[in-house]
Amino acid sequence: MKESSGVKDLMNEIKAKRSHLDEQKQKKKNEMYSSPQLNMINSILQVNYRVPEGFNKSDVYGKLISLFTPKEKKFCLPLEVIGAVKLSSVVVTDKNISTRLLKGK
Amino acid sequence: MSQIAVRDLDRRLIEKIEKKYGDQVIHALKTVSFKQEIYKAMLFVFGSFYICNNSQVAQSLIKEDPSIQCVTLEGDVFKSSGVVSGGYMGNFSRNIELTQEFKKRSGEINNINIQLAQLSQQLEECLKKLDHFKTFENQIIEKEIELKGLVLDSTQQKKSISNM
Repeated sequence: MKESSGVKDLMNEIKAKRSHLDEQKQKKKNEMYSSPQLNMINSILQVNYRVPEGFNKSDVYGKLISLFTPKEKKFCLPLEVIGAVKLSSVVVTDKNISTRLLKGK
Repeated sequence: MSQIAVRDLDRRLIEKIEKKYGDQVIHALKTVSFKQEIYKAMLFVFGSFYICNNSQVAQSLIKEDPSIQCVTLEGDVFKSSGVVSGGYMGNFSRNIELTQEFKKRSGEINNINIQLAQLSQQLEECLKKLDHFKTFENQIIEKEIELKGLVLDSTQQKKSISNM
């Protein structure tokens, strides 16, 4: 009987932790989707590039803008100027499929 | 379809420039971290650019080699052909910064999801154990009832024997 109550305690503890994590997750999601800037990036620039059907996901690395990290914040502006439109329009792929991807088949 | 030919880095020139200008100039490729497999794509975009601390350094740097293009930390572009572009960057898009923030937050959400999955698994295991203990508990209750019945029978038998 003692062991049974111990398990119940543990279960309650886990349930509490789970609800806390759920709350955190929801909070982050809300934060993410309510932020107009982040929403803008995801919908317009499509940071997470959606690989078309019929293509192997591992062959398409994604949009250039999501593939690198500036080492310091001060370099963001010059890198933005250098990359310009290429950053959000160029999709990096395995060289074998880039032609197919451009044709969309 | 023809491929884009990307000129590899002139390492000697980079070394020479770094020696001459020190930390006032840095090659654009050295300011970003990326996976080695996309090196050529990065070279295609950032390969010919240097980032300079100020416009004076940029102006003198473009005279070193005709292939050099410079960008200052304020966003002004200097080309060896003499073209200078830039100016007020107040409303310039901050896509790189925002993308980094987006990636960071997405990572945090992923971590939370992983933790949540682990905890859910633990919870399931605990529920299984609880079921196991509940069966034991029921068995104990049944045995207790059985035992009580037996005790009652034996006391009744004792009473009847003593009456005899």
